[in-house]
Amino acid sequence: MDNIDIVIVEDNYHDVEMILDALNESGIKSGFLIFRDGAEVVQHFFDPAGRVISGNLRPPKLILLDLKLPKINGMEVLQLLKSDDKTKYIPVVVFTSSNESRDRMESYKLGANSYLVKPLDADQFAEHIRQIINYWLNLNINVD
Amino acid sequence: MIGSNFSNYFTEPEKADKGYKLVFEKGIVRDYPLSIRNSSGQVIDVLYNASLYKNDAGEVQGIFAAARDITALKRAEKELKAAHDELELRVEERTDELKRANNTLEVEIHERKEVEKLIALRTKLLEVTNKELESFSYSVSHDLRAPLRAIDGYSRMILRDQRDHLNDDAKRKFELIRSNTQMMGKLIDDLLAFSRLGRLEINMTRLDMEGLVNNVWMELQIINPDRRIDFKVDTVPASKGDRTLIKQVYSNLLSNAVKYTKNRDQARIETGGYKRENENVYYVKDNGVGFDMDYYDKLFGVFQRLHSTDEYEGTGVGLAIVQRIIHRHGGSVWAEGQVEEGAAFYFTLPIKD
Repeated sequence: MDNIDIVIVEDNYHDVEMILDALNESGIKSGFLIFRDGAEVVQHFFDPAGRVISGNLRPPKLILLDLKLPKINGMEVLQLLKSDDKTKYIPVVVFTSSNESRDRMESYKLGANSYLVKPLDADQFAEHIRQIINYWLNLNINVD
Repeated sequence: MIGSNFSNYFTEPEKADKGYKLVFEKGIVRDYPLSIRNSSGQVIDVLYNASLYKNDAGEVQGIFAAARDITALKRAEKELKAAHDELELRVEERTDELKRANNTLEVEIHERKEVEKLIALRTKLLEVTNKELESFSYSVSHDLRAPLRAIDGYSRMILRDQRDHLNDDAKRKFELIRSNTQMMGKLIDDLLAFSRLGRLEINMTRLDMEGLVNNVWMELQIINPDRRIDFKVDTVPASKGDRTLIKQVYSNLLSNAVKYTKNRDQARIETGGYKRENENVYYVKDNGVGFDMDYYDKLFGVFQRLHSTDEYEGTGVGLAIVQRIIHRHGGSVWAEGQVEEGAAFYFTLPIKD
C-alpha cells in the first residue's frame, strides 16, 4: 500500500478507462487504487466499527471521488472521510458529471478540497485529469 | 235610565242580569264588561262600575251604576294585537330567512372546505411533479452525458492510437462522431437550461437596462474579436426584473444579431426602448439575413430553427429561452423580419411600483 498516491472512486467503467488513459498519456507513474462503489472505499479506510484501519493509513495524496455511486453515495463517503480526524486531511477532489449548484454547495460544505465537472469533450477530460494530478501530487503541499 | 226599556238597552240581558246579581252578592263590581245600545242605536262596548246604595240602617236602597265607553280602548287593543301578530309573523319570517341563510352559508362553508381540500391535494401533486421533474433533469444531466463522454473518449483514443491504420475517410468520420457528440451535449445543456427556467425563482431588482446592454455587448465583442459591427444604443429606460435572466435575454438577442449579420459588409445592430402605457418596450434590430414571416410561429419554439446548422450554428433554443424569461416577468415578445432585410425583436416588461 505504500506506493498508493491516488485513490479513484468511480463506478463508470468507461470513465475509469478514460482516467487511466489520461494518466498514461501524461506519463504519470503514480500508484493508484480503484474502488467501484462507496462501500468499497469506506471498507478500505474504516473497519466495521467505524475505526480507521491504520494499516491502510499511509494516506494517499489524492482521492478522486465521483458523487453518484452504488451502495454508499459519494456525498456520504465525503462526509465520513471529512469527519474523522485521521482521514480529514486527505485531499478529496470531487469529479462528477453533476453541475447542480446544490451538489457543489453540499460538497464544499462537507469539506471537499476541489470540485470539477467531467467535461464532455475527451480532450478537455484528459487535460483536466493531467492538471488535477499535477496540482495535487506535485504542486500542492499536504499535511504530514 | 229610569223608565227606559232595559231589554232594548242591554244587548246581552242575561249577562247584565248576572252583573246585577253580582253587585248584590259582593256589594261592588268593577269593570264589568257589557255591550249596550246607546241613544243613537249603536252597539258599543262598555265597562260597568256598580255598588249597592244603603241607608243609615244598612238596608239596600238601590244600585249606583256607571258605564264607561271602551270602544276606543277595544279598538286600540285590537290594533295592538294585530300589530303584535304582525310583528310575530315578521319575526317568524325573519327567523326563517336567517335559517335559510344559515343553511346556505353552511353549504358554502362545506363547499369551500372541499375546494380547499382539492387545492391542497393539487398543491401536493404539483410538488411531487416538481420533485419528479427535478430528479428527471438531474438524471438527464448525469445519465445522458455519461455515454456521450464514453463515445467521445473512445473516438479520441482510436484517433490517437490507430492514426496510422485509419484512412482519411475513417478519420473524417471519427471527427464527425466527435463533433456530433459535442452537439448532443450542447442540446442536453440547452434543454436543461430551458426546463430549469420554468422552476427558477425570479429575483426582482431595479435594473439599469442600458448598463446591462453595454455589459453584454462588451462580452460579445470579446467572443467575436474579428467582427466589426456598427452598434448603436438609443435610450434604454430602466426597469425591474431578474438581473441574471434579463441579461440572458439581451445576451441571446444580441448574439443572434451578431450571428445573423455575419455575411453583411457593414453589419448594423441597434438597441433601445421606450415607455408605452404601463410597460416598457425594448428592441434589438439588425440588418442581417432576417427571416420569413410565414414561419413566424416557429420562431420562438424550442429547438426550432429557420436556418440550417451549416449556415448558422446553434441549437435553436435561444429565442425560446427569451420568450420564457419574458413571460415569467409578465411581459410579451414579438418580432418583425424580412428575408435578407434584417430582423427586429421586441420585448416588454411591466412597470411596477
